[in-house]
Amino acid sequence: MSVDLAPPRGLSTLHLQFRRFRQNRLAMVSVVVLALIVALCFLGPFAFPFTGEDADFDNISAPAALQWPHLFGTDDFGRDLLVRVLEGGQVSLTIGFLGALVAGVIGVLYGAVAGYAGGRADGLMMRLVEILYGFPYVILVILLSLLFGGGNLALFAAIVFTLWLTPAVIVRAQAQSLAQREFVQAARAGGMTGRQIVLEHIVPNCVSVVIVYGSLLVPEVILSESFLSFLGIGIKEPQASWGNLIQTGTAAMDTDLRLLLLPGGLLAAVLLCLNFIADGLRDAFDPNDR
Amino acid sequence: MTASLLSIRDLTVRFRLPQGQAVAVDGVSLDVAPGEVLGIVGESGSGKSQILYAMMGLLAANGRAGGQVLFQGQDLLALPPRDLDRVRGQALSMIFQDPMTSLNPYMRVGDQLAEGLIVHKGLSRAQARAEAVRMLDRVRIPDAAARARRFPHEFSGGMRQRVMIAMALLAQPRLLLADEPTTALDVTIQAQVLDLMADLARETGTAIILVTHDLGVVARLCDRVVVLYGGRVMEEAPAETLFDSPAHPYTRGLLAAMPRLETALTPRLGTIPGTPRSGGTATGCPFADRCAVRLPHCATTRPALHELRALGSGRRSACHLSEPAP
Repeated sequence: MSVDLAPPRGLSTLHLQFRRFRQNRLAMVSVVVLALIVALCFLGPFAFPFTGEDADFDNISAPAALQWPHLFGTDDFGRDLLVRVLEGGQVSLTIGFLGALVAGVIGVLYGAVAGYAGGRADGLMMRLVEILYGFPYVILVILLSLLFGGGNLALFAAIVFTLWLTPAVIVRAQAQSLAQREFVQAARAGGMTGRQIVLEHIVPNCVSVVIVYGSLLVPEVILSESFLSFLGIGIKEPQASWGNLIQTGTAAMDTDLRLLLLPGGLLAAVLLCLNFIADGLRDAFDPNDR
Repeated sequence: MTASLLSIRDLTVRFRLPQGQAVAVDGVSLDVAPGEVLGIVGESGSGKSQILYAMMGLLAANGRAGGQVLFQGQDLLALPPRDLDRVRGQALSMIFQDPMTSLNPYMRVGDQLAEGLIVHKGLSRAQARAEAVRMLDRVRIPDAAARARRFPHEFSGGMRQRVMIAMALLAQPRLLLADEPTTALDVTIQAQVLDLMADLARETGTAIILVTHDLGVVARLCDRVVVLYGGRVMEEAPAETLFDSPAHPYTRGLLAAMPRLETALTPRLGTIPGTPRSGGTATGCPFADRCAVRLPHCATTRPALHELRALGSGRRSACHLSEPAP
């Protein structure tokens, strides 16, 4: 075996971790599958001459005949099922990734500040988190729907509002131990302000934890969007999302399974991929597992 | 003596603990002249590091510092945080004990060095980077320009400590605080790192306070030595005379416990019997319990730090034995 010659530019721990991640075959397959599904959801509908909200009254409840243009048939309003599922995927995936991102950013910053500040500020900030944890989720969504007049924004706000708490707690614990590390002391001794220390020293050092947790957060958000839409307090008809498509599908599952299977299958595939990716990331980033 | 750069007056550091108060530093006064290398020696728990932390405003959350730390005419303890940030990292900087944890593992070494220059000197990123590379070169990091783009985990321990020295000296501070800078290093490179630090400080006229429990280090580098025990100054002397004629019984004990070439054949090193008292303020001399030549009133009356004219200039000790008769 030959010894690696030093690369011209130093490799960060993060680089090395991603290199390790790339060696995980299952996770890489999941990345490819997920990328395909995302591309299909966002580009696929352009291939059809109609949108998911256009009703084709000549073909109401057409079966999945794999015939152009209604490859998987239509629902009982004559809307193309495949296009609706793909458009629903756009909504679900957007909310999933955006929600996880926003919740993650808020949580990371909040946790990093609390953990670094310590003392009374930390105590107050964490008590607030605990109070919010105690809020019943579904009631919160209903309240926010009333506040925002329903719709996607209310749903998004409700999801972010409940899901930033866990990253905040995780990062705060990490930040607390980082604040005691000598390089943070050294930065303070070097006259860095609290803001600079949090942004340049605390947050980057939480990155591995955040990436691992964030990869679990995405399926969680997608799932809770679907759950709420399934209950009818999320995305509303005629706009499609995987949640409300599955809900329509369950209503008709005695007679026509495909209305349930197509959106349900895609949701399951996405969640499975995301979980495999999360698993791969955890394996690559966990320092105890080398 | 020239006007001092730093003068600490009656510094106390206390920690609030569930079971009461712990006094880590108990009325320490000392001065540092510009360009001088002052050693603070003492065993673990003597409060030597806490003096530095108090000066830098880095005490743990339950710690409180009292007294005065006059640095270039400003009392650091009374300074608002914003002004303290300006002093720290510019006129005053610090090297920590463990180079393995003193560098941010997620930041390229050059960027970490440049950070301070951007913040304090308002240099552009490119200028600061160039300056950082120049400094890395001066601390003899081979191929500094390439190394600056690497991460700390790609450096050895000795190299990291040299990076820390570079970082501390980059802003050309007036005073450098070094908290046992070589304890975490291999003995074979300790001397090399210390000499480098002292040489660079001499070139730039930077004064150093070197906290250590290694008397060999003190003998090698320091102009003056303060011996600390139980948070109090036991003895203060120019380095060369301290080793020849230690005045305080504690200093004598410390020196007896130091291995020397000429005594290498004696079977055992000396030790000081007993352990340091923990917590609380002693009414008398903190060393009284362990002192071999204790007098009856040692445990009840606190000996004051007094001049020892007979032993030469600049020598002071806090022991009843050497006190001039009242």
